[in-house]
Amino acid sequence: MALPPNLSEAEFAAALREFEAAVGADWVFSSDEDVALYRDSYSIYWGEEEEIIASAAVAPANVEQVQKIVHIANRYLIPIYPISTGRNLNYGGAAPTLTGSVVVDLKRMNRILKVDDKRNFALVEPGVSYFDLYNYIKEHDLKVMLDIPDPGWGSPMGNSLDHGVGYTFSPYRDHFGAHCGLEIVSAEGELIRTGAGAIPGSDAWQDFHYGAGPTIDGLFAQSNFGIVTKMGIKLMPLPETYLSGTVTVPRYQDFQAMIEEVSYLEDSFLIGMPSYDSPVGGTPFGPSPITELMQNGWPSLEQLEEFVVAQNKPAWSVTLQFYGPEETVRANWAAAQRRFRNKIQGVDFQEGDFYNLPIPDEDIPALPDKVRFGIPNLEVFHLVARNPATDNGPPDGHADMFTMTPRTAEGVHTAARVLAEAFQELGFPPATHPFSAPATYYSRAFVVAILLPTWRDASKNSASRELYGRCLDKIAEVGMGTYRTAPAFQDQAVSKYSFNNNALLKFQEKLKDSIDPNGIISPGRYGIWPVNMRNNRG
Amino acid sequence: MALKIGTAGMLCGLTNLSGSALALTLNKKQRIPLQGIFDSNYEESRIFSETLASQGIALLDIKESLGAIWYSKLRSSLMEQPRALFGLTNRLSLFCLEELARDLNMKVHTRIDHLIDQQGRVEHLPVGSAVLSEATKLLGNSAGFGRTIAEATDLASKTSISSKQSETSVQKITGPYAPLNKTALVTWVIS
Repeated sequence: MALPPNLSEAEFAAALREFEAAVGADWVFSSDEDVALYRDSYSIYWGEEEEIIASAAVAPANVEQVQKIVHIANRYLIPIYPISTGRNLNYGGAAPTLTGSVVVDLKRMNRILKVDDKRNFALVEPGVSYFDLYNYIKEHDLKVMLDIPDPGWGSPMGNSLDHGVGYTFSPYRDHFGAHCGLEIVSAEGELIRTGAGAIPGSDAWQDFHYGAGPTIDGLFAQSNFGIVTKMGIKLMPLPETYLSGTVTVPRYQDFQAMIEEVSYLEDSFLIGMPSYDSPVGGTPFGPSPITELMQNGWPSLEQLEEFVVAQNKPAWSVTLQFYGPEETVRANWAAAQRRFRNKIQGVDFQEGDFYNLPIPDEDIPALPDKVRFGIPNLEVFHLVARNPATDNGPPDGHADMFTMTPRTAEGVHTAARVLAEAFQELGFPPATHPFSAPATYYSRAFVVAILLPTWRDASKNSASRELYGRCLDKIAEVGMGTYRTAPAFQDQAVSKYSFNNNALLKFQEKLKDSIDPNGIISPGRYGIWPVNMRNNRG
Repeated sequence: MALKIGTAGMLCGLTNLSGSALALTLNKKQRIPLQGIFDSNYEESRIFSETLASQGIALLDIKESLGAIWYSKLRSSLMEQPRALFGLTNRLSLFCLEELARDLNMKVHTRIDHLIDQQGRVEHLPVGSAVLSEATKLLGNSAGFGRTIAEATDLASKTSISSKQSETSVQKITGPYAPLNKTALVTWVIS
């Protein structure tokens, strides 16, 4: 059993008794089998000394019990690590950021407090999952649609607080951006509400999340300044229909013009999430025309254009999504085609699926891309298969490397190039190439994503760790960073945001020392270590 | 909520297949009801379910949407009436169920992976117990093991074994994926 840092077995036993008194003995878990449930299934340190292991878990049922847990943790100086559902695989799962921490498992706080389909918001507790919220909306025949991550088994609150993302309209798929009001138990056990929620008797908590004066909501995302116990979520009114359409452009160099047009449409709120791809891209693994093309380094523009012509396919595609009344989605698709035609020679169009919403229950099982319709599912696990380049046995998980780039063709190509270099420098075939297409989880930035395998095998994990670290270093050299990562890489990831001698992190540490003087909440999360643990960094 | 059910219960059935005895009990007085979980995408799992059905064991097919079933039916019914989940599924479904079951502090107690190659040969990989390893040799290396596994429950009423043991070595031992060119099914008990 792991123990909290600097605590004897006897002291920890006494603390556990106090936790039991606070929440009930059935809800304190300290046996090895129980604690093993909180291991990170995708840990890149699985089975190694550095794997982060909890000492125990405690599951409060309400805010008062959370406050009691915080008071006990302060008294014994026990690090605690709150989780909502603990299913953010790739980012640590249910495991804490420091071995010996007590996981505060908020699964029992699972009330859906309100869903309003006239004002279009929900107010939930941390243990509510996307499935729960979806089922509630259906059972109550509410006319709102969720924006969900993939897979959808996590918590809307937890996902938002981890800067999670979705798949529909831009105001909703940035999940923290779509939050509206927080309730927080501070590190000292005080209950705080933000925005209009701070006005006693206010009914506008989810309608007005600024309040007056500075907003502090952002401090509680990807951080360790408090335990969030309620959160409002802005919801999209249920659209009447959905239409998709795919645009293709013939030349490699058409990508920038395509991006500019898509950005116009998206920033004008005429489309939902765009999905970029390259019909000539294919897989970079194993023998393929692209691997041959890259054999002598990054190809020239001339070589790339010749390659596209030889493939006899368009260089790039983007699938656009339209939500709304049928009249407007069809008009917006027509307007999009007109604008592309005026801008790019040789552009082509293919109208896609049209659905009346909501999708009837009987049609849902066969529905592709359920996330586009806010329907939670676990099907993504079927898609996230293997990396054939390293497939000497199936991986047991993956560590996703997300490079945030400017919303430009040059940004995407630069990220793809330096990531390919990182792979090649360490002897791996590159996972990115000149036709790597960006993801658009955030509407105002691109993401170039790579999935690195994790294993139950330490030697293989060592190679993945080295590669991941090299990728982080390489993208920082060209002014790029990542938005979200597992605890194993959080120190390195935030160290790249180092402008003016790490002024940002220093400020965050000052806040930490003031707000959480004992450093009990999630020490080390996203590089923020309390003053008494700063030597843990790295 | 945590129901304890151990490898010992599974062993009983597998080491005594002629008697087909598997005790899945909370203690000597209280028997844990079983909930069978199967995936009709797989022939072995269908056979497993048919055999369990003949014993009157409640069944759920997770072919279409494991997540929807967990959140719409299974979780709430387990809260109302605790049961041990006895499944033969692919690795992916076990992986997801193992994560989901933490909601109820339920965990994997017994696990046998069955790797099926493209010629239909089956390799059984029991986890966590030498005795279980011996027992699984009785499953053979060809199709039909789903029935044998399911039959290992049918005399649960004849034997009562108290088993509160659990092994961390059984938990989370693989990810969701199968080896290249193989189908990875798993027999498991979660309680």
